Amino acid sequence: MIKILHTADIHLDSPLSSLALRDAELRDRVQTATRVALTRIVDTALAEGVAALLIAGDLFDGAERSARTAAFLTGQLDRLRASGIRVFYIKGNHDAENPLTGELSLPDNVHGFDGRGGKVQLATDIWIHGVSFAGRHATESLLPKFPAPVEGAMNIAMLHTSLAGAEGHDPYAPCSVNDLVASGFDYWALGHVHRRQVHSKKPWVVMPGTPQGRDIGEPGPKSSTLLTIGETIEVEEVPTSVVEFLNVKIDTADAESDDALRDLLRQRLHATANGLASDSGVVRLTLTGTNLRRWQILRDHDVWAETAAQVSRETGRLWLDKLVFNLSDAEVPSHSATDELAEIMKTILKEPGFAEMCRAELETVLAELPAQRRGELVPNEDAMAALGQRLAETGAQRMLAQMKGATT
Amino acid sequence: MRIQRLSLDLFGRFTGKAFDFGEANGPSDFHVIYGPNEAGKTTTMEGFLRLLFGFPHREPYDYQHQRKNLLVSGVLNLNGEKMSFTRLPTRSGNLLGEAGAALPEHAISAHLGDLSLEDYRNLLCLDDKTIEKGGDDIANARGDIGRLLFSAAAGVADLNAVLEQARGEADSLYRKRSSSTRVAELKRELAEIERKIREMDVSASAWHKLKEALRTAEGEETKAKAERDELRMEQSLTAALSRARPSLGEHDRLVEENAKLAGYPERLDINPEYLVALKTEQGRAEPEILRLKGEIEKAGNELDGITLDEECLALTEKLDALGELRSRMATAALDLPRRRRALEEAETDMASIARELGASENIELSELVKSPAEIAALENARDRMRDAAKERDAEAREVTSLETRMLEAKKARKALKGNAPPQIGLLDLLSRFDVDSLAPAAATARQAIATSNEHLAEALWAISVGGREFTTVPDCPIDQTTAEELATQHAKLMDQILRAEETLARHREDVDVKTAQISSLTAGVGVASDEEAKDARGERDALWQAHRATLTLESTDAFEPAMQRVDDIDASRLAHARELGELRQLEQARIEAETRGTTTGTNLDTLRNQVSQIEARVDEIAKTIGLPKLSPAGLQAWVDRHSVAAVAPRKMDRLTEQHGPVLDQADRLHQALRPLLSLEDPTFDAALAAARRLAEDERKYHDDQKSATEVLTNLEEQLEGRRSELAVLTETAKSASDNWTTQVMELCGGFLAPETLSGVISQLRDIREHDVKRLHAARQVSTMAEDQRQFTDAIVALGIPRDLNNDDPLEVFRLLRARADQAKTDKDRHDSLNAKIADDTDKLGTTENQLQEIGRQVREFGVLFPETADTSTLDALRITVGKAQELIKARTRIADLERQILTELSALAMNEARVLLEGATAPALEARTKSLEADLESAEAQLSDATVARANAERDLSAITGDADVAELVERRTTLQLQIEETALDYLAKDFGLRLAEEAIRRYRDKHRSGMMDATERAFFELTNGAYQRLRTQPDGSSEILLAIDATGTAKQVGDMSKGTRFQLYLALRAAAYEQMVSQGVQLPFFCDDVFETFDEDRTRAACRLMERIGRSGQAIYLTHHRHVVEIAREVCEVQPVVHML
Repeated sequence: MIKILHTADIHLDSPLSSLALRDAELRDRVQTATRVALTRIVDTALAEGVAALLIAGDLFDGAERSARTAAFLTGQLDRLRASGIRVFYIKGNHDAENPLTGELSLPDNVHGFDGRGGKVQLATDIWIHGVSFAGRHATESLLPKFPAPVEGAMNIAMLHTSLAGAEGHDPYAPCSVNDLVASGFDYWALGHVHRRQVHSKKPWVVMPGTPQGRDIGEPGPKSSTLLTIGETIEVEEVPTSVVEFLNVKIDTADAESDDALRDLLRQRLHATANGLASDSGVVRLTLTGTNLRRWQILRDHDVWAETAAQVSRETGRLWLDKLVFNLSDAEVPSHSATDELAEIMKTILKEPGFAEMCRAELETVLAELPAQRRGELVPNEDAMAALGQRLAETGAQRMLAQMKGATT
Repeated sequence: MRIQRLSLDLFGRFTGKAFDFGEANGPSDFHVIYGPNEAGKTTTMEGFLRLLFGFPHREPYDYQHQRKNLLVSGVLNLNGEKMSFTRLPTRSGNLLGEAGAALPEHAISAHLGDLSLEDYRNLLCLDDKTIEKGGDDIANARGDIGRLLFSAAAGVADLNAVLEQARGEADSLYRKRSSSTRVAELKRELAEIERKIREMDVSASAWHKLKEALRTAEGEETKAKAERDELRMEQSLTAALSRARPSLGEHDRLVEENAKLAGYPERLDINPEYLVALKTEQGRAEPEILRLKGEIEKAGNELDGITLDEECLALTEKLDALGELRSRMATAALDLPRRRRALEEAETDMASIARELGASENIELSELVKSPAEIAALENARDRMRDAAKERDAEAREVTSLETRMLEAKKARKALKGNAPPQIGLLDLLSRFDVDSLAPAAATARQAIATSNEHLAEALWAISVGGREFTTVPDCPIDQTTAEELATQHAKLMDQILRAEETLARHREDVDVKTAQISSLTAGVGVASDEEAKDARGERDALWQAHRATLTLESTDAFEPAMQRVDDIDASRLAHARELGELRQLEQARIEAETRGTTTGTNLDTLRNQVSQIEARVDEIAKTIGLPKLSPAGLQAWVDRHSVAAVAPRKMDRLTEQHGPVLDQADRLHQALRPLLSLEDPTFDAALAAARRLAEDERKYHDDQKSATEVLTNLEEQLEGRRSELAVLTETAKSASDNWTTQVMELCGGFLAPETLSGVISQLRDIREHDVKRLHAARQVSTMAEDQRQFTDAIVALGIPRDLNNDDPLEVFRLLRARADQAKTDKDRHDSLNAKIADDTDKLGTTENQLQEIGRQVREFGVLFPETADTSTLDALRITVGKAQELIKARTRIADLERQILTELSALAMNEARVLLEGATAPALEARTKSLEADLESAEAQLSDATVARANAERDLSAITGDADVAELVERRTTLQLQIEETALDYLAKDFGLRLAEEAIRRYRDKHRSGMMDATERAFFELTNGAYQRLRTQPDGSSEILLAIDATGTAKQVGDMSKGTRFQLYLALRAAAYEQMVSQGVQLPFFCDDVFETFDEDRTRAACRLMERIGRSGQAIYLTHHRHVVEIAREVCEVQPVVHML
């Protein structure tokens, strides 16, 4: 029985991105989570006595270029070396753009495949194949660069690929699962997509996902994949994430009073905390449903955000990323002035003059943000207009809530 | 919404109070609730608010019913549907519908048009406070009036505050170029973090540079090290040559020097120290042999001189056996005479005691020796006899003493009887009247009555007036109140008369002045008076009529001057129109003054009349009482004093009655005491004091008599007891004496008399002690005599030689012992000499053997050396061995030098070394050394620099550890960036929302303002009965001011209006707001709580009509405690309001 641990997309030292990290206690708990994840992977490798650790690309993050990151990595790889565990590594798109990659002097137990591809014998009848990204883009399939599988042996191939890719995203070493299945390898150790997915079991085509999610876009517990090779290959998940991100929606339709809503929050958050796979969780909470007290809730949005944060902290494991209000109004006929104001505000929102004002103000304020983030937020004019519209709607809702709230 | 029925079941002061507002079937739904102050009008209004909005947490209306018990209910008409509601004070589920079913809050709140409790109160429940508060909000607001009117109508009273707060919040998040906003703050924090990252972090390229630097430094170091090592090598070679050169010289010299001693051994196992030891041993052994031989000879000679006595030697043992007996013998010889003396002394002592005891001369002494038990029994009997006699004597003395005391007591009693005081029974009398409580009570009573008498006298004096004095308090026909009324009335009338007289004088003066002015004006102007003008006109008109009838010249002539005169008069009057006007005014004034004067005169008469009546009445009253003439004020004062005085006799009577019994009793006691005392008519207190003293003497005599009798009885009893005791004790003493005599006779059988013995029983003990001593001494004397005999026998048995002719066995023994000891000493000396000779002979043999062994060893060592060397004696051997050792040292040194040279020069053989050293001179080597030292120093410095450079590079590189500091900072930076983004977006949402709200409100305001203003204006016009025609607003900076325009066109600000007018304006605003709400489909009950109080009657009418008008579009309820308001409402309203009584 030989065991191999498979991971990818560690993005070492890439920071977690959530407003929840304003909380110093959470910071202390999940500080440098990607480091902890790598440490856990190494711990697992040592504990399971694996023969090799496969890192299928994006060991580094494109943006984080501190030599200290490399020093930390070397330290962890040295631990594996001390126990005679070999490491196989292919470069992904982020590694290729990161200058640290070129500066690494890795311990002698690490084998890095280059862009031309190659194969290394791990044991008598086990061969590891791999091809690295040569640059930050690989628009063509890297499959042709793989040497043919060795006859009569277990062949494991490492590839960093976006597979068929997704609409609107650049393709990275594109190929189809069918191509991989047909290629004659026994296990495809993939990397690049951060969500874990087993694409095929015969042969195995496994995307292990990142060992540590970094924002609300990478929700759920994260893991690495443990292979046990005998006559066949057995695969299991090994949890690695220190903290996991969660999207929790709460239907507030039945919460007729503040107390009821508080109870509902508490109940759902405690349930969420109990079902947590990682040590800690960062929650983005969305309140939905039709609620008669929508305006009061919106008016007190700060209070509710603080309450949700507080209740989360009470669980000892959860922290609030953000509280999102997605409530719909109960259709109660009313003739109040604020209803009339609401109608007028709706009309103004559609007027081009107002849109122009929004755009100008938006430009001024967004100039305060770092350029990169600004680019992500408003990549083009349409996005700018949409953001303006969205913010104006939110603002209008809040003002109405305050005006209505002031009267009820 | 309409309220049909309101029940204050348990609320405030009410229990089960209900108002039925009935069905709204008339054209106006206007109700007036009337009740006096404190009847609960405000409570009713608050109760209604509770029904709509629930009970507050702190309920001020829980003073009668506890908060938890409060309850209001009612029937509301909601959109034409009647519904019952009940409100409980519970925290939740406090709204109940029909049959107690819980209802959600919006069952009511949905019909309130979004009004909060506060808004309802400020807008539709008006009292003095809320009407002003809500109104001021409008009038003093900095924002524009239209918006505020709209706010009031919409019930969003504080929308401005909402907007301001929102603007404040937005501004706190972000303002362009501001450094105090949240965004600016976060950016500062971010800059700080980024600075730290820059400081701490090492980028990939910097890392690369560090690695390169290390590689270069390592190369440099290696090179410098090689150079230095080469120089060091050369330096050490030169040094080796310098050192090897002298070594080779020494080597060669030693080889040459030792060439002739070639035959000597390479190694030598002889230790020179050992040879020295041999020499020492030889030197010691030779004299020792001589000494031993001398000793042996000397001992042989001494031995020959000693002879041994065997007989005396045998005697020793026998003498030893006799040792103990001899020592006892010697002791006895000293002790025996002393023991014999002791025996004699004991016997003498015993005899002397016997004589003392009075024993007969021939008595055997041992018979006097008695056992301790017998002596004790004797002593016991004697002591009992003595004690009994002592007790008997003591008792006899007691009896004698008692008899004496008895005689004295009898004498004392007899003397007491002779001095008895008189017995008159005062003690009984005093205790029968219980004098201890009666005396103070009587004193109090007398004091109280005396004080009261004084008061009465003072009161009578107080009501005496003039010469009239009273002995009793007279009856007063008038009470205090009436007297006071008369006085007051009189004073008031007098005051009025005074003022009326003044007024009359003033009016008369006025008339005089006006008359003077008129005549002066008339005289000065010469104007025709009105009468003259009228007469002239009459004359003219008559002449005209005549002229018109005739139209003749005469008539014309007659008419013309009349016409001319009228014209003249008119022209003159026209010219003096002002004076005329003034004249007329003066005349008018005079008439007025005259009229006033007349009126005042009439009034004055009336007043004087009234005064006379009062004074007459006062006189009559004074007469009735018998007082001199008094003014009403004087009468009032007298009546006041009389009312005080009238109390005094009553008080007196009460006291007399109260203290009567006590005084009676005191009096009886006084009468009883009088005949018993020798005082002439004593007062009660003096009698009482004398009686008390006498009673005390009587009591004391009785006490003494009683105690004397008691003493005598007591003494008689004691004497009798003592006498019987004495008889018993005499008997006991006699029996003890008999017992003693019997015992002495039994033990001492006649040779001792009891009388003598009783004093000297202790002598029996002494005699017994002497007897013990006597027996002991006799036993010792006999033992010693036996020892003496035994020893003498043993000495004789030893067979004493003839030459010891001595009788004393002890001396014989001593001489024999001396001889035996001498024989033993000789024997011991003989044995020791023999032993010494044997020992010395032994030692002599050993020493001779040693000498022979030394000689053998010297011969053996000699064999090791060549024959040329001298080894014949021990000394010669030592010299040869010394030489050999020198040689061996030289050979070792040569080998060392050879090895040293070869090592230094790294040569394999000496030949090779000689080649290397060939031609090497000391100066040449030294010069080379110096030059190498200089080179080496510079090479070392270079290496040191290179090492430092390499170490620094290494340190720099190794400083890059895998620690997480930078990673943590990067995380912090990410969070901060997110926060900035979040805050910026939050700001934008708020800002956009605000802009939308402001714009929307502006548009809303424009749409609604004209209607609101019109409605307010209408209502205000109506309320002020047209005093204010219009309302308008005037810009004031960024805001507007509300102005009201009155009938003359003057504009007034709210602050310039009277309170009543201001209230009317505020009421008008509410009426307009009500109209606005109705137009939006919201109808709610409108309450006013006595806000018309400050309105005049006309405006109250208008206000009632306004309420009626509100009732036409909704429901109006007016609460008041003014009856006239109710009447006005009934009078002015077209549709009669429904009046409810509280």
